[in-house]
Amino acid sequence: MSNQEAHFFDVQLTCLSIREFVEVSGLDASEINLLVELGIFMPSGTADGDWLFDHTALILARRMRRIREDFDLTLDTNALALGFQLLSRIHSLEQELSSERASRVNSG
Amino acid sequence: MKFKDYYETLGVPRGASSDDVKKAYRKLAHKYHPDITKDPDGEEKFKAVNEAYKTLKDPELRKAYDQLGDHRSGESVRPPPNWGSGFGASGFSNQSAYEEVDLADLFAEMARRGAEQPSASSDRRSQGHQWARNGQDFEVTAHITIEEAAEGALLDLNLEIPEYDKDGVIHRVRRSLKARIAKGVVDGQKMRLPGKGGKGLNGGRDGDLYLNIVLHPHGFFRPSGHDLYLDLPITPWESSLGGMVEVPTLYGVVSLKIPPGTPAGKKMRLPGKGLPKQKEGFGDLYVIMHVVSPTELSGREKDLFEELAEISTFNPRGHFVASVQKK
Repeated sequence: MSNQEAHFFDVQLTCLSIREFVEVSGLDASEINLLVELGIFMPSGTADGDWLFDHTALILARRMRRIREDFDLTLDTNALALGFQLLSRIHSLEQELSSERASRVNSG
Repeated sequence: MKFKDYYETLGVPRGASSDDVKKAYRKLAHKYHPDITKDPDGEEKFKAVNEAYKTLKDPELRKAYDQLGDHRSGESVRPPPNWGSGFGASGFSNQSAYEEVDLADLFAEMARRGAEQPSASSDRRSQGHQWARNGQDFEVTAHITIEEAAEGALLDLNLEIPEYDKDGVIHRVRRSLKARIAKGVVDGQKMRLPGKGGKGLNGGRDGDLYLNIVLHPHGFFRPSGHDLYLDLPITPWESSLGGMVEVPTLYGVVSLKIPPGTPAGKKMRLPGKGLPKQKEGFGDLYVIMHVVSPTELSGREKDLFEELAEISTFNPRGHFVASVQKK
């Protein structure tokens, strides 16, 4: 079965409202509030009503959701916060490594 | 549909207990999960392991899977009549409807129906209630060039997205999408397209499409976020005497003044010559000096180098000797 109808649309850079972020992350609003308080997520905006989460937050949230589902994990709030802190640290290190590799002279 | 041997995938015999199935899955998950593994093929291997476990961990799904019989992986199979009716399927009388069905999609749908009817008895399941089905999320990787990241890009995405037919059976549907990406994306960026995934059924919401951006390696620019890095080959005399050199950027060639005594490895920043940022501004281009000596010399060049070797007191290995002599 195939559907060859072409769809055309603009892809905007990621900017998720808290409602959308709840949907994609599988977290509830109180968990998100805690993670913002801990500085794990840093949405733009002044209050949770107008928070906007960027693509880094999306990557972390999707990664954590996948880990929780794939390993059947039931995490309390503390464990969840720790999990996110570790993932955030891994993400930063991966970016640093990528940056370090990019800035190294290629002698090959 | 093509058979997949889930017991073989998990490395357990067909009669394995549910505990043994779980243990086997956990062991393989720790080995291949993409967030943990060092195996470059881990993601693909984990996908197969996860698919097998999702079916075998549920007693009713496992029973339905066992009813398909024991076959070789890749063999074409047809479900027996009334197979899966306990999951509210409209029946398998039209067996040709399952020719193009992926086994994983089918069992995933059966699992969803089971989960949406938590207190259902087998009678209730078989009544074929029209539950709302949310469409599936779908993820695709889009490879673009650095130039496309700088200017914006129009992508042709040809996807096979799992969607429901009118009988609620999942099929892979080929869909062509043209996506216009704004400038400002970086390598590894993830973008969410709400509602562009699989279609929902019976009032369920459409799934989302996730686009992972990967930049093609460039001939000479290396991206790091919005910054770019470039190895600039310079001659030994340019390094020592300085001079003006031409440097390629994404926006044309620029002239760069190299000061006298510029060593190999020195980084010079060209502000605003990197990739554009999301809202405004640009990253920077870092030019890294890479001193390259000629490997073939004319007679005159050789004479000049020999003269320089004779008169120069420069010793780049002096600290090695000093260090050894101290001992």
